[in-house]
Amino acid sequence: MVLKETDIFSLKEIVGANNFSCDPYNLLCYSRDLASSIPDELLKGYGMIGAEAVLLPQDTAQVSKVLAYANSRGIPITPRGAASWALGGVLPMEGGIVVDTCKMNRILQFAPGDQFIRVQTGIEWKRVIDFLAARGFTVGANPSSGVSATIGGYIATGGGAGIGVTQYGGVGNQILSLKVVLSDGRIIETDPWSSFYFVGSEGTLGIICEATLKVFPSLGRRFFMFSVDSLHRGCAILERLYEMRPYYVSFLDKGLVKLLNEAGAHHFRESELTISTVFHGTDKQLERVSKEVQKLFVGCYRYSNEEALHEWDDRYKVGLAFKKLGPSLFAQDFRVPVRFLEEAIQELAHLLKGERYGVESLGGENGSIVLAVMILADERDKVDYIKKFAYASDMAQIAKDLGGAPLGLGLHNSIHLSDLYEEQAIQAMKNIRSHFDPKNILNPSKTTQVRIPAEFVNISMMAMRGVPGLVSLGLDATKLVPSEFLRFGLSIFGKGIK
Amino acid sequence: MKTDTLPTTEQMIHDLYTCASCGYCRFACPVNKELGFESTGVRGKLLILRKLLEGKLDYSDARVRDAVFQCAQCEACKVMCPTGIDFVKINQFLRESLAKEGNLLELQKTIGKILSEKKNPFNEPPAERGAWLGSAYKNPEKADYLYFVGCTASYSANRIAKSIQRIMKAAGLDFAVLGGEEQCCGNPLLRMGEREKFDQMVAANMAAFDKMGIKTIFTACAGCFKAFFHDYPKKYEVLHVVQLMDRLIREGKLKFKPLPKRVIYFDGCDIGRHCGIYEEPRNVLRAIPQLELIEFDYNREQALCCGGPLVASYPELAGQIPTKHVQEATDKNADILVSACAACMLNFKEGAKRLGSKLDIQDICMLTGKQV
Repeated sequence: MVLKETDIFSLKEIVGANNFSCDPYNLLCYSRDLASSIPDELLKGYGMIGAEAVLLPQDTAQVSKVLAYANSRGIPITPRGAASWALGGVLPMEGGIVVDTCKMNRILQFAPGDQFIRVQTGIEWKRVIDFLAARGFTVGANPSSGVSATIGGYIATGGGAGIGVTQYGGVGNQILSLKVVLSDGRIIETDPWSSFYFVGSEGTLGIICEATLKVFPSLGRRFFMFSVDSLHRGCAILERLYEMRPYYVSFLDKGLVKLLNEAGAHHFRESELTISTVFHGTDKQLERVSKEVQKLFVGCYRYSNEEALHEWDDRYKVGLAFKKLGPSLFAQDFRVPVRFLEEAIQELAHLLKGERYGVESLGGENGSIVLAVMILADERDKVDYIKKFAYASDMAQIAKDLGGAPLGLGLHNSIHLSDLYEEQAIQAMKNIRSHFDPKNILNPSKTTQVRIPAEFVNISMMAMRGVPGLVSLGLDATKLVPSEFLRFGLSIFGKGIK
Repeated sequence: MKTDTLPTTEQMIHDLYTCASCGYCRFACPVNKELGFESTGVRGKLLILRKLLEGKLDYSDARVRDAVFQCAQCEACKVMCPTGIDFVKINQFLRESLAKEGNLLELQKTIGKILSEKKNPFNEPPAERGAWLGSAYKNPEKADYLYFVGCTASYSANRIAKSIQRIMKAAGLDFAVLGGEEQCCGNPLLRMGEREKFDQMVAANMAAFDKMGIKTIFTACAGCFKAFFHDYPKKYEVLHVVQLMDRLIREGKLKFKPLPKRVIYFDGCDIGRHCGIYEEPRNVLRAIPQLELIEFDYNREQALCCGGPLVASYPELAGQIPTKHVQEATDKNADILVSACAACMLNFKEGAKRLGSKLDIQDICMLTGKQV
């Protein structure tokens, strides 16, 4: 336990009793994220302490007071948006407080003339997009999980994948300024350039409380949806589509289409790739684009405009509609240059032979395409789930080999840190982190602080694949070993912490 | 909510593990939006249930009761859920389990007892149920239509019932009422999980209907309508009064006087998401000359619940939820906020009181009743 009675009293006073909880049911919820299927034993094996208190501040001033207090007492802070990221970024590894930004959800200013919107960062993207749509505007980059994903969460996790990215670039390009509370409680306001420090900072440099984002007038839209029977041709089409900078481009691979049809949620024509794309523009631009798209897809099956529009309306949901077949899912997102898409899909097919899986793509920035790989599982069969979990390392390797990377580090991918970045770059990230957070209270044991050495994980996974009985043995052992002992072991064998 | 097809235990467990933990359910959950904490949203509740089932979380009567009953059963989460989980069915399953164990909230126990004894939740004498009709009232000799008045219009919001009398008279439609023989439809009991007691009320009301020789039952109460629509035997045509008014307007039998007001319509969950009635109330309002109909940002299937269903379990929370709706209506310069559900109307009035707002809030029958 990090928190003391006096801390609880003081923190409750800052946010108010209604916005403070030590309830065990809440503490459980705040010690999990999107990947809630991960076995508890694995989280224990990571040495996670879990949440000791949850705070729901309502504004920047309250966040500032909370951080100033926590900093003075060395209490770990885990910032949390919607927890719709599966990389363990919001798991409270070192205990302490979880700061849930959900009550910082107001639109503070909308300036149509100057084309910007200022919001509290706990607001969901969908709410902002709906607000703007009713007023003739839209946003640039936004996440494919926008129904729950918060403005702050998307910025903190990089905002380089999703909708609008292929036209406008990552969310960093649309930030005019951020109001950020640093680890000692100081409030700073960034300019567009310095905002980039916090884009993808994964909650380690400060808590982003307000964001001023560029907005764009809503123009006409054109929706297209095709199925392509050849993987090679489909990938070539996607490469060309990316050059055309559509607002939205996404594909479902044949595995995903099959699973969606089996789940009865959709009725897609079975083909190698089902590609949807949306263009924004003036009538003249859209006329030109229309002709080019039709030329590009010549000979491919075209869905009706209504079907393409329905696919767009369903954009936040489509990929998950088959989950009930699992009923659990192991998912991993990674990006590769779009020109290597075909290789990536083929390597995944080789890796995941025999698994029931599907691949959906999200728009990526700088010529990259983001692949969301979803493997059906049943978390109640823990041995099988861990086996699927182990694919994450293989997928990270595929991404790296093809010039890409996993989509963020968080907890689970931090083990790949040294594989993904040069030593100098890692040191620079660590220096920035210790400059912003010298007492290491913000989201500790993640991102640049590697919890478990990759070598250890890789050897364990190889051993477990060779002798499946080792997995259940490992799970049983984890249950029996006290958490403190596991944490002590990690502190000796782990590397890179601090 | 179709409570007649509740999931089996096996299906429910499958659903618990189907949850993707994406948190989409939090977007429109009235309880979670108000309280904030994960344990008050569906994603959190399903996680808690999984861990209880796995024996990894200690069972607590009070906490489980809150997790189950702090839900308006509004189905907003179902609309958002990408994996198609019908949480309201799971919730109803749990309510019925808790009710069997007698593990209800104290307020629910009290209301349940009153309902069983007085056949209404207001502790009013059953014999006075038809008092609003006046002692001279007589049912027509023959009527195809039965107006099921419901508890709220019978006792605490008589103006709804009187408005319906005026509207139907203007349209030349004869209808009968059950008067003192009418009982609560039982919907509040069903929502508490008291299915057996609900079934008893269904039997009593059905027996009364059968004696009347009617073809159609209509009601202005959204809760009654939902119960008839989903949970009563399908023996008679069942209409919400907005459907009947819409029909009468289309047949040229019902016409309104002009009302130069800006009116915002609220889609209550009971007739909206639960029964799919979205356009009929709008058609009725549009039939009023000079009335300007405006919309909430989230309307029809995406409407945000007013919290009304929580009045009988968490009144403090219930009254706080509609303050946002009242504020939005005010920001949109609405003159009148209209709903087709008396429970919504009363809860909006509570919300307005808390905000100190003078916004005019009316049931659709009261509004249209003045324009015939």
